Amino acid sequence: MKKPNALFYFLKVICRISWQAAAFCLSLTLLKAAAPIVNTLLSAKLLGQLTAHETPHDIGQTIFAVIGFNLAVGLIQPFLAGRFATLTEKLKDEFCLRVGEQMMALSYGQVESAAVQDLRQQALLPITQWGCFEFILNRFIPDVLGSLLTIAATFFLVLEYSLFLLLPILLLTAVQLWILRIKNRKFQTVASQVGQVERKLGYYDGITSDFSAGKDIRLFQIDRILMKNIQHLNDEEVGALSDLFSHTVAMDFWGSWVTQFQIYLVYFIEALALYRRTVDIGGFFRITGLFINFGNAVFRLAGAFADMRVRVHFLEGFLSFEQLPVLQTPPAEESVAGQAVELTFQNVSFAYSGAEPVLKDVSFSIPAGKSAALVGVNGSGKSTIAKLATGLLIPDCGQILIDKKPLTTDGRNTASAVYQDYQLFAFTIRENVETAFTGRGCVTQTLLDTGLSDVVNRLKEGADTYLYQAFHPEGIDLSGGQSQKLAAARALYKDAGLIILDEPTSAYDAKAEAEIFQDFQKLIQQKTALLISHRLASCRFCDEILVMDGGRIAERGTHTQLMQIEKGRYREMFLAQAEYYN
Amino acid sequence: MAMQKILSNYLYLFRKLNRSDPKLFVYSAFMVAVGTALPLCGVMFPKAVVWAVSQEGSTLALLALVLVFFFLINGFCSAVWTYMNRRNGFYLTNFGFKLKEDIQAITMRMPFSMTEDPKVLDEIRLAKECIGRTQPAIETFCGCASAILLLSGYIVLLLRLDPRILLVFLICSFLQILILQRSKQKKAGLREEKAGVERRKNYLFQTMFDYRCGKELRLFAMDGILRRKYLGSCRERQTILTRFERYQTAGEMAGALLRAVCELTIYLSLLFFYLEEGLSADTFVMYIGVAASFQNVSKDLADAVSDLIYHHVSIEDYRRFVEGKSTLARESCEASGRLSPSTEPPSFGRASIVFEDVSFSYPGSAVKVLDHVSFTLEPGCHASIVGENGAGKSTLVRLLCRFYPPDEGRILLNGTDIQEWEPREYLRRISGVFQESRLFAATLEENICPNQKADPERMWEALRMAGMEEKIRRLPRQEKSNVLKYLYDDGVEFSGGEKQRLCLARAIYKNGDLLLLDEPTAALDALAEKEIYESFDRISRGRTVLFISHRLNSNRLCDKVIFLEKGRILDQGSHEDLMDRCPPYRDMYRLQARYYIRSQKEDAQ
Repeated sequence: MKKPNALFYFLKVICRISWQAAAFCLSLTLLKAAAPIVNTLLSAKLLGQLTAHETPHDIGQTIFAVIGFNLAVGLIQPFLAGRFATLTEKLKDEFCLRVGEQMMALSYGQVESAAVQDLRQQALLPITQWGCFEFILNRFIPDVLGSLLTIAATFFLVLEYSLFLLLPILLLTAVQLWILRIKNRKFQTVASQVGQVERKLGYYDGITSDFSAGKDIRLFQIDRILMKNIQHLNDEEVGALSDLFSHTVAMDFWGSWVTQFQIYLVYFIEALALYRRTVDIGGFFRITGLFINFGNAVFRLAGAFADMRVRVHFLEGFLSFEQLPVLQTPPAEESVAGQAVELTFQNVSFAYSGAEPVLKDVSFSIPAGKSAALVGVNGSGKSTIAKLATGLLIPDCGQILIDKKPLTTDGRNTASAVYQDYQLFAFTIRENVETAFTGRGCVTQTLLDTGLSDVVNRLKEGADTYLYQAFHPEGIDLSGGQSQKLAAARALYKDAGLIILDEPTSAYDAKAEAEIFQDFQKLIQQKTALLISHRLASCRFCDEILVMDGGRIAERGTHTQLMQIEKGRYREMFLAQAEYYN
Repeated sequence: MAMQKILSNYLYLFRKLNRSDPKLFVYSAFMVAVGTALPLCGVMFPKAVVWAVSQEGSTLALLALVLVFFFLINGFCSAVWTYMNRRNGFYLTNFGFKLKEDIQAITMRMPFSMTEDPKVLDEIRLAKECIGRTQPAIETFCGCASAILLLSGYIVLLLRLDPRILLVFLICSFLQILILQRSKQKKAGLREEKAGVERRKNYLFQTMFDYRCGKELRLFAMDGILRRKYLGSCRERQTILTRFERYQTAGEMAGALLRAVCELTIYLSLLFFYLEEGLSADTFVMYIGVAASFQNVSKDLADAVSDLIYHHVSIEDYRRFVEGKSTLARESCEASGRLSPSTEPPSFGRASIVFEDVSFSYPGSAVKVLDHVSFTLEPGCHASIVGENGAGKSTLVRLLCRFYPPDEGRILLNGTDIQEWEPREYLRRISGVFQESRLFAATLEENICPNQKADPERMWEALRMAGMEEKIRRLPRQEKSNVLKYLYDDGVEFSGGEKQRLCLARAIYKNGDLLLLDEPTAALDALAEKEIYESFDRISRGRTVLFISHRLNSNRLCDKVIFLEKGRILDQGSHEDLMDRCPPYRDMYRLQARYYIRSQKEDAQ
């Protein structure tokens, strides 16, 4: 299938979202193009009448035409511009929603991949956050349409006059465009250079404003070397910009002379006609005015396309993004609550794109209602298994079965999880616990079970208090341990058949952690559970322990069985941790 | 009063600019002159042409002369204006970099306590907004100057025609400005509401877009909720924007009516003068141009002035931050201290630490995080601080690093109060690895020895003690390798455990009087943690070490354990002593250890 043109695709998307915006854009552009032309015609006519000493009545008519026209424009234009501005904002919001929904519809594996991250950074962010959208709607489209209208109108009006004038205008416009092209080419090279520097500067800006690095910076006086690097980068950028500046300034200088020459050449040529009595003063100003408008319009049109060419790769990125394959997800209501499920991995292999395989031919099964612990050194693939079990990643080989049926979508209907890098949302505590599964249980009871009742009861609004400050200026911030408890509450409330816990107590102190694992059985409530933890003591609660090493399951069994394996991985890790307790 | 503040802020900006680039104001003056000349030419041109043509016995030569004259003036002015504009733009970008560097340097050097103050975070954000305002401010000032000159010219011309016409124009301009101000006020009233709605909308969009929320978004089917909330805040935003639009449109329509009144006045008066008093056609045309230009220029001037008034706030924010914090930063670096390296030579790792009845609560809070804490660490002592979350362990570390002064009591290093040191000099005495310690995008060498020229022998020794010597020697560029892939294509990405060990090497290299280890193994697995503990023996031989960790197994390595509960020291002593006589400690230890101990007993059977 032929790839559609990125710009037209974008325009089609916009028009489909809001045809009203398109309509207002068109009418506004029409008005803005017509106004200078009508003004030129009327003022030229007035001048002609004055110099020819025509009747006051005729002159008066022209004057009222001018005032009337200006008033009409002055009343209609703000209305059109205002409506267009508001509609553009609405259009942009809905466009962003479209992009956001597409992002949410992708599989998690796609979202994490370098390709999509690149698209996000190189195309989607420039369009939605860095002004490309506004450029297209507020400058490119009006400029192109307006110029085309002006060119058409002017051409039509001067058809009977000296088309001979067209030649020098077009010639000089060609010169201007050639100058513009040289300028843009230089701009492109410098822009990519500057882009690199800006990316590095962004890193340093992040470090200096990230206060978690503050202790290190002060303790080791790293500020000196960081400032030195920042200054180097700034100097580099200034150097590139200075190069651009000297180049641009020469081009601009000659460009402005060419523009003026074009204008006055038109005047001069018409002056000849004036003295040969082929036109009168009125005609002189009318024709020169129209031709100058024409010249400007041609230049503006070409300039708009030149500016667009710099940005078209954003639109191409957007097109690629829209064409990404999307899996169908069933609605959340279809999920079944309460029933423990059996989890099976069948010959599963997986590698992150472009990297070494993380999992090699992994097979295991956790019967319904049983719990298993997954242990191994960092990088052995534990978190990857957690993501595969919840359907966030798709295995390269093999398959994952829930109750003997292959898992084809993300785990919204089958599983619940607390991840190591969990995220809470800036909504109310209640909304964070219930998520999309409202009415599954009692929020208060779940908060009690996870040890958050005290904290929540002390709040003025209780469970309807907002987290963070995005939605409510007085939203609260929870401590690390409290946040983790809330994430656990969320996972429990969903009451899914399979629950995954990836380092769920890393932020707890010893006492709190012990409390949680004491109630571990109560916590998972006869669901099927997969626990990942560094603290081998906590794995002893599980029915079985799976030991990962180098992407495979090296050992499995109960604690006692595993400890009996000579030179076993599990035994090695357990003794390492236990050593200092004895 | 407000006027004074505005003027003083802009003067501050100009002084700073003048120091950085003296030619800026000369070039800006040129721009003002040229910016006045161009519109004047535009107004005079039709008059000149009509005059040339309607002269008795006029020839082509005369008109040609007029055209050439205007061509040269316009060409010269445009070219000069473009050059000056670009040149100023370039230098102002450069200036913007310097402003940003100032903010960054101060952020890194200001007292640590400020980095935890949300008010300061706000101040920094506001100060940064000034950076993008400098260029528009200068351009607006030049525009205002040109506008004032032009208007003066126009006023003179209109006076010569008829003062009453000028009066009408001035009244209309004044009314237009009033309407403009009113509509701006109305919009300003809505500003906060608009900001709130946009903050919500942006949060929702970011959440949809951010891959870090991706797992929960899918697993808990949040997409429907996000969509619903997003549409809701879009609708709210539309309502506000429509009100904005109405104020704006009403204001502009009123402006159009006023303009029509002015046009009517001038056209009819000119017609009258033309018919009754022999006003020439060229002068007629000139006054039309003057009238049109007058209206536009006065509106632009009003816009520009209100813009300048509105935005002076960001200059004030920047100034307040830089002047206020740079004083503090300087004080924190060079403040008076009677102690210096010459009077208090370094003890190279064998410092003694005494906490004398120290109490502390964070600024703005009444809760005592540390309550009459007293303990002593002899030189070479390995001490461990334990306690529940919130017991005060991290706060103790912060006080020891002199990030906050104690409310009561003293902290002594080698017998002298740490508050008597120069702050930066004191920090040279401390080495540490924190939970959030990290490497920076620089060479490995620069990471281990950040502040000075690297001593290779000492550096390799530090790497060996931290257990990273072999790995680094195996790298193609060894210690000159770049760290972090984010900035360098050939950057090396280390694993979590390796990063912690490199931070440890950095701390060892520094060889301070005291070594602080704050949860250094939090993110590591059992085997990596064991390696760190093994190096711990090596590293801490002969040094004074303070160790904070949740994992009580590390207590066996220490001579002294200090048990904190709710800001007080419940007990202190060796691990065995505390197991004997401190029930809460015993309970906490057994809680963690029992599974290891019990299972070993089981395995033995």
